[in-house]
Amino acid sequence: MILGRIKTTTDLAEAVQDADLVVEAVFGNLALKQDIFKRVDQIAPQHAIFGSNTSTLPIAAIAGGTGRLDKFVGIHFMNPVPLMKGVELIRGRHTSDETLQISLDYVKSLGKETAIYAPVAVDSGNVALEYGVAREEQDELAYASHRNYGAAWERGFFHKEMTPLEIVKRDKKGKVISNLMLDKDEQYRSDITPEALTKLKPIFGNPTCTAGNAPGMNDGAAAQIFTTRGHAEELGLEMIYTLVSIAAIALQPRIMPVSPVFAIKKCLDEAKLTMADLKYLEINEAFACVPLVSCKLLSNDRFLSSDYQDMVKEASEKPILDNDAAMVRKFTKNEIIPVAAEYDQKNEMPWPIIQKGFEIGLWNFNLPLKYNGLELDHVTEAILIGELAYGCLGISGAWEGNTLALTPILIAGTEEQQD
Amino acid sequence: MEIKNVAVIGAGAMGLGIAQVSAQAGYQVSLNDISENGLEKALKAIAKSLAKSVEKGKLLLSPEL
Repeated sequence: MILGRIKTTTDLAEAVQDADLVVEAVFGNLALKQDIFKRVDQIAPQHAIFGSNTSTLPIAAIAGGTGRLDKFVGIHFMNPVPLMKGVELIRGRHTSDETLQISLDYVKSLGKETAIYAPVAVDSGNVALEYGVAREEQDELAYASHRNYGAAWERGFFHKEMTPLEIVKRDKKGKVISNLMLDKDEQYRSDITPEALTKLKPIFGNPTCTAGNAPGMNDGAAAQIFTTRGHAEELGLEMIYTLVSIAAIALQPRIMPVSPVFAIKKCLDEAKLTMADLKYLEINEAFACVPLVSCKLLSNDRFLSSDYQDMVKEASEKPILDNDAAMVRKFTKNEIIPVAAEYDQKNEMPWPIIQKGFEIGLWNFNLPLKYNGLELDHVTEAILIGELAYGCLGISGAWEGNTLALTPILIAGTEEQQD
Repeated sequence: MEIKNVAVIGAGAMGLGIAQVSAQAGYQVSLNDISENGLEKALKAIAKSLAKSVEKGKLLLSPEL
């Protein structure tokens, strides 16, 4: 009966003419998917929903050639489909609530578990900002990575690691039409410039991730052999390194950029090591914001000294900010929120609160250290002000208002004025 | 809207799996591929996977019933 419910056909029109749902699962090629859906759009019933089995291609782009952007959704199954419980639903920019609900019901009816995700670049781009990592920093790191890769490759660093692959294309008669030697990472661009990176538009409508600071859509494979010390000695093998501790973690998909640092923390905790014991760290760049956000947390004393489980919990609810931000958050909760309504009604300048803040050093966020400021970058400053504004927008405005006049003096003032 | 008919385009590893789980859930499935041979292989793979499920006691009936 189950098999009896499956009809096969090589005719695309016949396959989709009565469909309520069309699930496309061809190769991950954008042009091919676009072409298929353009044709399916002409034949499938008006009410039919279209799902593409992808996790990497933008839903809105695949749907582009059809007249039903709102009825389009990403339905990403895992292989082997009958065994894997998880299915990702990916909402495109135009996907309607109704379409999402119907797809959700369909996936659930298959006995699968699902969650609705945004494209990983959207989450990464937003999480980066939440952790105070701006677009410029991400572009800088991406640029440096290309340069570093190029320099290392020129020095022959990867020659022992990479197996060159010759790709020969032939026509029907067997005549060679193109011959390509793949011996470098495809993502590397020798001609990259900071200006070119700056010009790129963010992808999928996220605030900071671009094609330049996001991972390339290529792949590779690597292998390592591990064995016990005793066995290696028996075989007379040279030992390159010793594996001291290993940890795997899974966090909410949205906060992917912080996940390496949680694995690092777990690893350190289990081996009873601290950051001071480490000489080098290698974090998969993936999106440039991944190592940048990770490094923010690795220099955050509160994160490093806190209980691992507590930090996992905190990260799932809000960004884990450094001590300054945590202090501002506490100050907001204890000093601002209880009196915010009162100041609103009295229409008074909140001097006592500002003075209290000054006493504990929460003042002049962006002023250089030599003028008694905190010398924070603008993104961090914005995060701190955001913490204050969470308690009361009026009080945070008054707070920040006191530093308005300082920036012009810093930029254009004489040394005397600055002092 | 209630889904009754599901069309699956592409009968590779993913497509045939999607067709199988959809049919198991009671949907009428139309599996499409450009290759006749690919479709035949897909049906065989689905039958094999279903037979395995019966063997393991995950499915109570023979898939042909």
